[in-house]
Parts: sequence; structure tokens; C-alpha cells
Amino acid sequence: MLLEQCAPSATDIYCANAISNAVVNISRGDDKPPPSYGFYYSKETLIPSTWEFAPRAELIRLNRKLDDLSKLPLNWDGYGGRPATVQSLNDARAFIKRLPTHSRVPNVMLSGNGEISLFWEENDIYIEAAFPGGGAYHYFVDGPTGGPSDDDVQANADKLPLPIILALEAHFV
Amino acid sequence: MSCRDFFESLPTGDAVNLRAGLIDQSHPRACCEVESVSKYSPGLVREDEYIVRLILTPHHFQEGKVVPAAFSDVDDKGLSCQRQADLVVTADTHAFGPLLADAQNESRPDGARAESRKYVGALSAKVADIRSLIYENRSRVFGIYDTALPDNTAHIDVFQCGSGPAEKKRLRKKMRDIFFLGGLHQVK
Repeated sequence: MLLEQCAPSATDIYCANAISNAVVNISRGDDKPPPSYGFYYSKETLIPSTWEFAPRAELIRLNRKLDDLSKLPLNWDGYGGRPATVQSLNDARAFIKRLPTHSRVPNVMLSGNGEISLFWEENDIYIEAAFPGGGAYHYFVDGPTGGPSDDDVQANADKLPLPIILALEAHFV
Repeated sequence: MSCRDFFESLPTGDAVNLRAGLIDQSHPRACCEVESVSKYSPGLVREDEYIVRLILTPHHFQEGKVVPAAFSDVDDKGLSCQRQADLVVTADTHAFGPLLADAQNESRPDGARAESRKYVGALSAKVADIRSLIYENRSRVFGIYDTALPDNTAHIDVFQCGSGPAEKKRLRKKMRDIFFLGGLHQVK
């Protein structure tokens, strides 16, 4: 796929490859090796180079999904389902910004009451953070022998709770 | 007030989300399970029966797996399920799937942006396994009631009993895991 055929914020795999290749070509010049890290403009989007691009694309995809969930109609599930609430979205986005840069991007799910939850799941390890809105969230980590949880974490706290960081570092990098 | 009278008085329409809280407030720890709560019911939900939850796309089914949010209704309006004598989902139960999807698609507002819902299959779990889940303080987590309807006498509802939000979510995920043990039953 040609780079020109991709939308500025395209994230499908073909566009991602096209943009990624273009970035490598820009960075390489004629015979210079690529730098270990750098930012380059591609059309209107500032994107990181080489290996950084894949998680970045996942993050763009996640943010787009959050947008989509906020635009669902009332009664989206035919049973009174509400779209994601603005406050729930804001708190979830604040959480995402504080994720370790090398951790895996979470999945997202929406409850019928408009509450966004982010989660990671692999084998028997599961982490979930739920954002009911109101500037706080709750989370739990679940494994074969249970795991830590907290009912009330401030969404604007500087750092994520240590148990989440540790679980991500151990299982989702 | 009897449990049946109480369940018949539960709100519908815009206030349907209040149901789980009202039940937990007035009849905590699933105490109404010992009484039939619907005049259309064939009888109390027994431990050796199976609960079947119909699964619709798109939001509750991601990458071949059902997300715990598919069970979020337990905490407000009630998780609508079907009851069966066996684990294997019957053709009669499957038949409700497309009907449910059609009804949900038709009831959405005109011009709704959301992707249409489609029936992908059903999950089933033994009643005793769901009822055996308990919170850290040893109290009951889910109540299963025979909320039969005039045109669907096998209808039951699952409601979650009160606890902290994180603990509720953890147990909801455990319920998802129990349901998922038998895999997704699809129409053959």
C-alpha cells in the first residue's frame, strides 16, 4: 500500500507498514544506519520510528475505540445501555497516560451503565481497572491465588498503584 | 411483603437499573431464592440445573472470548438468562438468540450509529457453581431467581449482592470464567 493512500491517522496494518517503511526511509537517508530512536513527521501526524510504532498504533486504536464507545446511542444494547460517560472516558484516558511506556496496551470494555473498564488478560493472569466516573477508579489483579485490589484510587494521582505496575511488569510487557 | 410481591413491584423502564440495589437492600444475601418469585415459573431454580447466557456481538465478544462486561447487568437491571436441565444448550434456547438480537436492534433509536447486534452463541454454567461463589467475608455473591415471563417460562435473572466495587468486579470475572469453562455453545 502506498503511503499516500493512508489517512493521516490510519492505523490498519497495511497503512502502519507503509508509514513505518516511510519513516525508516526518511531516517536512513542514502547510506546512514537508522538512529536508535527519533520522532519524524509523516503527513500531519507525529509518529515515533521503527520498533516504537507498533505499540503506538495500538494506543491510537485504543483511543479510537474509546471515542467510538462514547458515541454509541442510548439503548445501544436494546436494554437501556448507555454510551461511555464523559467522566468515565476522562478518567480512563488519565490512567492510560500513566501506563509504563513498554507495557502492553489494555483491552477496553463497556458496561451497560456506561462505565469503561480497561483490562489485560493472558493465561490465568487478569488485571482490570474500572472507571465509573467521578474522578476515581477501582481495580483488581487476579491470579491463581487471588491478588490485590483497591476500591478508590484518584484518577489524577501522579502514579498508578504499585500492584498494577508490578503485575504489568511481570506479565504484560 | 412476600418475595413474589416484592419482585412484581420492582421498577421497569428508566428505573430498571435500580433493581439489584433494591433487592440487596430489602432481601439481602439472596434470601428470596427459597421462594418462587413469578407466577409463571415452573418452580424454584435448583442447584442441579444450568444457567444459559446468550451472547451477542459486538461489545461483549472480543477476540473469541466473552468479556466480563457481558455480565455487568447483574449489578443493576439483572442478568437475563435461560434455565435448562442440561449443560448442552438446546435448540429451543438457541432459538431465543436471533430473536433477542432482532428485538434489541429494533428497539434502538432510528439512525443509531452502533453496529448491529448478532447472536454468536451461548454460555452455560451449573447453578450450584455460581451459587457457591462467596466474598472474602463468606457472604453470598449472586442470587438466581425464577423470574419467568408469560411467553418465556424458562427465564431467570441473576443479581449480585452488595460488596465493594473491586471485589464485585473480581467475582463477576470469576463468574465469567465458570461460564466459559464449557466453551461457547454455537448453533450446529
